[in-house]
Amino acid sequence: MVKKNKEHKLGEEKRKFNPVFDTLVYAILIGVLLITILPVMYVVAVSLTPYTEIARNQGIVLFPKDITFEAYEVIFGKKDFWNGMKITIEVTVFGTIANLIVTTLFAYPLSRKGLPGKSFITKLVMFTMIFSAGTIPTYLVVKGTGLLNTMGAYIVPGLVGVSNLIIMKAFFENLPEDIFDAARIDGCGEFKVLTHIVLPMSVPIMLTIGMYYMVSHWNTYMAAVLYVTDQDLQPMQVILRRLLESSTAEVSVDVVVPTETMRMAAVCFATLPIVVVYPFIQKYFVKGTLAGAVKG
Amino acid sequence: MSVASITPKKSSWGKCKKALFKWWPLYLMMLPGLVYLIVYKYVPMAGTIIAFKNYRVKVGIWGSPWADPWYKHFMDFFKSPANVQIIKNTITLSIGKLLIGLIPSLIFALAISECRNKPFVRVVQTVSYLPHFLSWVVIYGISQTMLSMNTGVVNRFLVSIGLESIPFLSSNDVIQGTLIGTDLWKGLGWGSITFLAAIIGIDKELYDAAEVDGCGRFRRIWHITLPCIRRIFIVLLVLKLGTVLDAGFNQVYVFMNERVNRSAEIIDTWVYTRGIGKMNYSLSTAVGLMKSVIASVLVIGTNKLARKWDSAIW
Amino acid sequence: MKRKVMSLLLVCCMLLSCLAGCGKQTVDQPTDATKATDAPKATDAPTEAVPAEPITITIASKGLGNLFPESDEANWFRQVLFEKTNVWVDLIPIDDYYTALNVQLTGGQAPDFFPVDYDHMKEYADQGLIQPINQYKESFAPMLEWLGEEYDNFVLYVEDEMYAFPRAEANSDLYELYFIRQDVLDHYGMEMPKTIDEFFDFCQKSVQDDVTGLQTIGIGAKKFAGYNMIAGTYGVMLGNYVVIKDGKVTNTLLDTNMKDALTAVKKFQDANLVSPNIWDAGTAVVEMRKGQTVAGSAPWSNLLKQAYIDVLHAVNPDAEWGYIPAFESNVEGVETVVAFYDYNSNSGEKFAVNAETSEEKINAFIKVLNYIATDEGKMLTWLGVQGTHWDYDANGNAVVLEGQADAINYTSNYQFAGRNDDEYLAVKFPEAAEANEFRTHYNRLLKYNNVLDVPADLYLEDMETYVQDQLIAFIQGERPIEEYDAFVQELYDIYNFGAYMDLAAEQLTDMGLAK
Repeated sequence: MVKKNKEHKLGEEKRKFNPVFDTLVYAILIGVLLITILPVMYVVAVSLTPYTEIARNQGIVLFPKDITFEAYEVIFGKKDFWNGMKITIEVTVFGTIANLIVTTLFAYPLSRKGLPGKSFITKLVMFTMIFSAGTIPTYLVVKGTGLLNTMGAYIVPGLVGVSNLIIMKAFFENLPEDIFDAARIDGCGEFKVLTHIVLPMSVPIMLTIGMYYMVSHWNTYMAAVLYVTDQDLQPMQVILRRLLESSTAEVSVDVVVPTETMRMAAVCFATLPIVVVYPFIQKYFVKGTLAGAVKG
Repeated sequence: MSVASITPKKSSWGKCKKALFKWWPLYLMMLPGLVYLIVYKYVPMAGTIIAFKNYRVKVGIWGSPWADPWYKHFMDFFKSPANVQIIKNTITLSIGKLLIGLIPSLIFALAISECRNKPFVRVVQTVSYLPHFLSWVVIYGISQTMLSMNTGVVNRFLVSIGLESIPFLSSNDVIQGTLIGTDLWKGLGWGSITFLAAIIGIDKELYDAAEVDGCGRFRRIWHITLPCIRRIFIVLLVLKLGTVLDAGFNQVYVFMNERVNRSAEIIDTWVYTRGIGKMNYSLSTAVGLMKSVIASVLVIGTNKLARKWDSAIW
Repeated sequence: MKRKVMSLLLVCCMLLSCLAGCGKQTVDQPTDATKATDAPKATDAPTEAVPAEPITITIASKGLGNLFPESDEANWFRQVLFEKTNVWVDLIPIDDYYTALNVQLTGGQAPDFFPVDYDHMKEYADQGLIQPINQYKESFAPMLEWLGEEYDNFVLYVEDEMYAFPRAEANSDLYELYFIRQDVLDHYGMEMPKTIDEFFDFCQKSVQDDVTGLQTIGIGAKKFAGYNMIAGTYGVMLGNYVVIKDGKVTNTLLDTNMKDALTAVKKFQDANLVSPNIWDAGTAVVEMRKGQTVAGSAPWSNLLKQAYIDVLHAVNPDAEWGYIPAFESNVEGVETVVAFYDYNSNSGEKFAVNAETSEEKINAFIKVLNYIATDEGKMLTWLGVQGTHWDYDANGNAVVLEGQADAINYTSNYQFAGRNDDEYLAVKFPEAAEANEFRTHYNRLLKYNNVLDVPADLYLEDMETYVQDQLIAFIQGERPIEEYDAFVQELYDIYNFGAYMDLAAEQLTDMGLAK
């Protein structure tokens, strides 16, 4: 639908070329492109440049002359990086699946017209968005439910994101009412309606919400610091942070601070997988957000 | 907070039973989510009672003695000589991020929707989301190289075109701008998605009608696009007001140093060093509670206000 | 109808099992993983040397960073220590140390032993989260004897109960050293500056000529250390430091020379000789490492390790660090001070015992302590296994064997009893031997802040933030130095500074340090 819309416009607007307007549009887009890509390119360039060259050029490299993969070789040789990556990927995959299942099951009933108690529960949900319990009470509950030092500690305490729930609810509310009527006439139960009718229509929203959840799982840090002491379960962000922070805080004389090259290589290593996922989802992304946006 | 509150209270038991019978599959579906919400969100809320107690780890939440007077930990915050400055910083930063964050995102979304070179747009979009995936520690690392005095790329550029260099990271006058700016950098692309979605959702016939009326493209944005997405703009504003006292702990914490403490310290960083770091959980809970109450009032109030423009969230 | 119910139940079950499956899979994993790593440990253990059941103790490690070996199997130290003591020592790296440790203590999840500083020790003892160890004093007597009796001092005690094991902690404050680029001095044919005026000329000349070609910076340092190089010649350091002068408890902020010191510092600042990035410690140190700065103040360990020197030479092969002796004093009768150190110079973190830890585990830890407090154990925590990682050279000096440096870079985490730092550094960092000798000749300011209690209604952090902020304002010219007295008055009026100093005087007099 999005595509058609745009193509249609394309045809008729060719006639109405407005030089001031189009220059402005391109200026904005190119401006944003440069502002975002230059620092990111810088990170990549540094990770590929021998450190001595960086020191000599006072840190300015955009197109490295000598490319070296030394830093990456060191990072790839580290078992804790691979283990952290494995944990992060597992948390991201299983966590996102669990998030989507529970969020969908929660959002769907809340979107159905006439469900008694619906508005009360919605308010109950909204309330948690503004009113949050502190670190310690939450920690005690996480401990009480036996999640400390398990992968569950990364997944369960953030099982439902309230804003995601609301976007999804809005999407379901916008589905045409007649398909539900038709389904009911066919004698479908609510579960069947959900799995056979609603879900196939919800691919964009699922991918969008899934992406939101994925990003938050990917950046899991505080949960690891507070809930997990087992070193084999530390996610990527913790490992990355250790490498980055050992360069600012001198913890012991025995530490030789990793060079800028090493640090940036670690950043690239830790960020690349999630960045690569994004373009595949982008197509559905705007559509998915659209659903939430229309109704708010 | 009990499980009983899931089912509507106001209806009589008979009505309840009827509803349950008719709708039970839907209630069943909600169960995992509701259980989650109650266990991990509402039960810990009961723990905020330590805001009124002198929490001692060994005796637990219920055994800890009551604070004397009960508002002691709230006073601890308000009696601090620094609190006026901290509150001011917090509000300046979050309002700044709110306004300066939303408007460029909106403009960017407009530019994307108006640009007809689709492959180019796709590239710009993809690239603009990149910073969202970077954590603040990483962004601070980048800022050091980009913004520091003498060696920073930006300052060298400024000097080369004959301007003074700007102490982005080490001046009380500039640091708030830097914080807002880096926040914008991180969220620009990501934040534009919502607006973009709203723009695409606008009925195309409106545009056609405008065209017939001979509207230029500037006027078309002004008269059609902007009014159509007013609603979503207000909704976002209301939602973000709920976090007006947060101001971005993770970001500020890494950007803070002795030189800029005066302008950068916010409520959350203040509480972090004095609360959790020193085992003074009652203090951090008290301040958290206070923030939540203020946020609730703000969100409910602005929502009422927004209802007047037909933009309420609920 | 029945079929409908059945199908619904089925879907429900499927969803639930799917959920449970996710949960289960993820929850089970760690136990599998630990089993997998535990099994070989038990079998690897040499059976003949160990009659008793092996004990595993967990010890928190602050800021291990990325140094730690990747797995227990790769951790040769753990293995060797077990063979010697029959104790498995598991180090638990904790990130965001006190935040996480506090939370873990609250939840009863903290390791058996953890390093704590004096303030936190008092807090934990007060809350009953750590246990007193008086009764074990006999058991760790060998360790104490090896350390020296002076390490059994007040910082281990809260109200006569001993809460932490003695430890000879390296004090990184004592690492601070004044650097100057010897090659630049030679280039100008200048002598080593003896006064801050000569130093000023040197810095100014270097900056004006851009002698390094990298946009030369005069003074580099972390935070206040750069300014303190100059303030030190007035016998003061910039900040809230409680000191004892002529037997009286006072504060550097109240020193009569403070205004002159600030004026002198401001002169350097006005001439733009101090790196504008000193507040961003990371950037400032990098500037020094690559030789952009010509002088400065920094811990030797930030500049003089081989890896850093290599970078310096890659940028400029002639670059060479020299060390500046303390400048001549600018105040009659007052000796120049260089940086500062704490009253109990052994002020770092000591190992405290979790209240939940069993007697058996405490005895196991003491066994480890006593072992690493022998010559053999000491060398193990310093350089590793003799013959594998290090050996004596022809002169009888211990030398790290080639290619083994990386294998031993984490052993310092096992120095639970501490170390004689000077000896250690000489062995481990021969490249910095000269600097390490040099820095011991400085006269450092002795401060008492870390042993003081804080009055209940004093916001110490807020006060220190304000002090730092205002001192910077004076230096940067944002506030005229004439207002210094007004500033001190503000401390009394707003921050309860008087109560702070009164309590300090009382406490230090009680300790017999002041009159």
